[in-house]
Formats: sequence, structure tokens, C-alpha cells
Amino acid sequence: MTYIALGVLVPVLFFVWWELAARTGAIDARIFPAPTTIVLEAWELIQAGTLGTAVFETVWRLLLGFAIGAVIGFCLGVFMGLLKPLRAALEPSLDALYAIPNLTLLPIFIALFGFGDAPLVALIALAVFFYVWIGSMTSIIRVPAGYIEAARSIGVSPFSMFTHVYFPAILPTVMVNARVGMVVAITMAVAGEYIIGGTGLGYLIFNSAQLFVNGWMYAGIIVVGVIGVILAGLVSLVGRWVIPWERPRG
Amino acid sequence: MSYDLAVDSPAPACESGYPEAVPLADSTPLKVSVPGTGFEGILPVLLALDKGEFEAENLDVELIVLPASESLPALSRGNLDIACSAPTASVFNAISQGFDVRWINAAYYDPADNNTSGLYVKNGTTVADLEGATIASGAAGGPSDYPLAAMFAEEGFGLADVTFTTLPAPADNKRTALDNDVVKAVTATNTEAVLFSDEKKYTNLGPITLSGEPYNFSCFAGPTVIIDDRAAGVAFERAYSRVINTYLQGDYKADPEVLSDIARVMEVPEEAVTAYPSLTWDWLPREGTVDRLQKAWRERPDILQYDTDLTEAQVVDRSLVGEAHGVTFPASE
Repeated sequence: MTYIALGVLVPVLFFVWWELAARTGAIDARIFPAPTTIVLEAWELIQAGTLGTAVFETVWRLLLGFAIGAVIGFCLGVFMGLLKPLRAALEPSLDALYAIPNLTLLPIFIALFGFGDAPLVALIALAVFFYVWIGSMTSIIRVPAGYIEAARSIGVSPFSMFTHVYFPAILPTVMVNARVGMVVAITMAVAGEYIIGGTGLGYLIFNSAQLFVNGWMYAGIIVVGVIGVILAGLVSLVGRWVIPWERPRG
Repeated sequence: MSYDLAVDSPAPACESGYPEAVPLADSTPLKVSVPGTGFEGILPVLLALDKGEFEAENLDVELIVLPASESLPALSRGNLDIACSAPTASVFNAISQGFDVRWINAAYYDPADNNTSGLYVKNGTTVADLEGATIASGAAGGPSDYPLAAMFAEEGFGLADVTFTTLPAPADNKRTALDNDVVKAVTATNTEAVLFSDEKKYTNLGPITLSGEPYNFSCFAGPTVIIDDRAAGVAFERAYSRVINTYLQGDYKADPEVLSDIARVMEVPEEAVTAYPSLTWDWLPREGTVDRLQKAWRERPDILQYDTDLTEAQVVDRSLVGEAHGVTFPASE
């Protein structure tokens, strides 16, 4: 409980400092509006339906892209971890793709999928894919040989080998990488919505910045941060639920 | 010399080399921002640097590449002296919030007889068909809203009756979106218009830059030159106008030497410069442009963040460019 309080206290202290600095003129309130001003402007956006719509559009793309990227990343990672020829065939190409900043691939996704949600979902899925793929593949490779030999010695089937040996062994790493992937996915969603303008929190933030409406811009930024905390927390929660034996220390 | 502030009045005609340089007593640093270097709108600044026109005024100009919205706080706080950009709604919003920024000169317009910028559609689509449609355009609150509003008004609807979307670079994406019916129309600047030159497929419903009124691009100054060091601001305006009067008159792109200079300072091939016609350069902001821009932006929700329109006096300051030319313009209302 004390740790939760600490986690809340730090941002609260930051916002109190920000509020005081803006109110006393220590910082330019036109460029850095006070948090209470931002809240009021956010309320205006909520009443107009703008913020709710933007949140829905971004979160919908995030969840869909995350699901697609995580499933493909997990499956391919597992197969590449288990099958050395497949790993040899695909790893160099995927490493090369991994090195390319995802955002630069957006024009290609537009060419492939057209406009609208599809290229943004693909962008998010790609970002998540790499994190989950690497986590799955490397952790499969690192499963101690003793576990596998012990299982073989009692004659477990390949399916049971996966469900009872590999899966429990790789899950902690996969969940950590999925959490990182979720945070990166949020970055991709916001950046992508800025480039393909018109919808979502990314558009709200950058359009407000271009129009010099700083209150709306900060409202959008803060909402993105809150979504990040919630979604990354949800992934952690799922991780604790599916791997109860891996409770973090302390 | 004629300095008519009426819209559609000809660009001020001045002799080459006018106004002559009047070097400041001391070398004066001046930070000037531009949104990029590959855009012809900033030619007066690039050529003034290249031709030593700022040096002739004893100005030590530092060029900074900065998006317009980022330059506004810097201007107001004195970290930047002059920002050259399109007069967007962001400038008006900033002024309404109390930022000390003023529109101090103008730049150009596309020639009426050869204006290829436009609202492009597939053949068969009319302006009336665009009510309720999605249009790919530049960022919200840009100057192209002004001619678009006029175009739509003739058919009885307004900017609020269409949905605007922005597409990522390159401009080919606009053509792809139009070809695939993702959008019903796209705005194209004169540099992008070549993508829609196939008359068997595309129609230009009308220009998105109005000829005869220089509102597409301009320079904005902060308090460091409007108030603190007006001499530096006037010197900047002298160099800026002198470049226009000397190098950017008539069909200047037909002059191989000027063309070569332009391509070099813009860091683009000469073919990119000659892909569209010579612009008509005009450094004098006209009366009423501020009102007309705000009227157009009012049609779109959430563009202007203030209730009462700003007056021209709150936005435009012609005193620097006037002093550079030895004329006093009537005070804006």
C-alpha cells in the first residue's frame, strides 16, 4: 500500500508544482497552462464528445494491433525457438526489419492496406510483434536442457512438452516483453495518427499544437499517459494471473 | 512607386536594387526561422543570405528551421526575432492569447494566368458533389481554407459540411487516395499539381491560392524587432524587399543565372524549380486579408479559439516594411 501511495505521490507533487508555477507566473501559463486549466479544457472536449471519440479510436486500434502483433509474435517466436532451420531461415530477415524504425514503414502499409484504420493497426501490430517474437524465441532457446530431458524421460507427448515445460518457462519473459510492447504500441498509435491525420488522440494532440491550442494539446498528452498506465498495468495484471509462480520480489 | 493596400492592386513595382542598403552602425544578430529550405516561399530570405544582402545591412542572420507553431513561443519570448511561415490560425490563436507577434510582410501569389494549384477531383465530380465528402488537405487552419470557403459558398455549403483529412508525405498518397475513392477531392499546391496533370482522369475545380492577394506566406516578428530594435527589423525588410525587386521579378525562372541560384539555395534540382511557373512576388499585406482568413476559419469548428475576430491592427504591422520603403501606411483598424 505504501508503494502504491508513493507511485501516486510523485505525479501529484509534480502537478502541484506545475499548478503553483503557472499560477505565480514562474512559468508562462500560455505555453504551460496550469493543470486545473487543462482539466477544464479537457472537460470541454469531453462535453463536445471530441475526447471520448479520440480515446475510443486510439484504444480500439491499440487493442486490435496489440492482439494481432502479440499472437503472431508469440506463435512465430515459439516455432522459431523450437525449429532451428526455421530460425536460420527467418532470423536475419526479421533482425533487419527490426532495425528499421517502424514509422518509416507507414507509407508501405498505406500502399498495402489503403487508408483508414488498417495501416495504423498494422503499424501497432508490427511494433508489438517484434517485442513478443524476440521474447518468445529467446526464452524457448534458453529453456534448460535438464527440463526437457526430464520430461522426455517420463515420455511426455510433444503437446504436453509444450504446455508443461516450454510454456511455463517462457511465459515470464513473454509477459515482460508484451508489457514493453504495449507501451511502444501507444507511441506508434499516437505518431501514426499524427501522420494519417483526422482521428484519434495523436491527431488531437498534434492538431492542437499546430493550432496553438496548448490546453487541448496537454489534455491529449495526459490522457495518452493515463492510457499507457492503464494498459501496461492490465498486461502486468494478466501476467500475474497467468504466471502466479513468478510474483515479483519486494 | 505604388503602394496600394487594396486587394487585387498590383504588386508594388520598385526598381532593381531598391531599397538601397543602409548598414546598421553595429553588426546585429538576427535569428530567423523558416519551416524548411525546399520551399520557394522563403526565397527572399535564402537569396538575401546567399547574395550578401543581410551583410550589406550589417545584419548577422542565423537561419533556423522550425515549424510555425513551435516558432510562436520563441518569437514572443525573444528567443527568435522573425519567423517566416504561412499565416495560419495558430498565429491568430497565439495573438489572441497575448503573444506579441505581428505579421510584418507578405511574399507571393500564384499568377492568375498560370495557377496550377487547386482542388483536384476525378473527372465528373463537381463542387456541389463535395458537400458531405472527405477531402485530403494540409493541416487544419491553413490559408487554403480561404479560397475553399469561397468555392463552396458558391454552391451553398461551407467548410463545416466537408470532412478534412491529412495524408502523409509523399504527395503521391493524395493521388492514391483519390484514385481509390478514399477521398473525393484533394488540395494540391503548385508543386504537387503535376501529379494531377492527366486531364483524362482529373479536374481542377479551382485554385487553392488566390491570385492577386499575397496571403500564402509571410514573415512574423516578435517584440525584439517590433519594439526593442526596430532598426534591425527595418534593415531585414530592406534586404527582403531588395531581393524581391532585384531577383524575383517577371518570369525570373527564365533567367538561367537566377534559376541556378534558386536551385542551389533551395537545394533542389533546377527541374523542380521550373516544374511550376514563376510566382508573383509581393511583399505588401493587403487590407482585409485578416478578416477574410478569419471568416473562412470560423466556418470550421475548433479552429479559432476566441470569440471576437481580431482586428487587422492586432495582427498586421506594416510599419517596418513601410519604413524600409520610406512610406507611412495608414494605421490598420
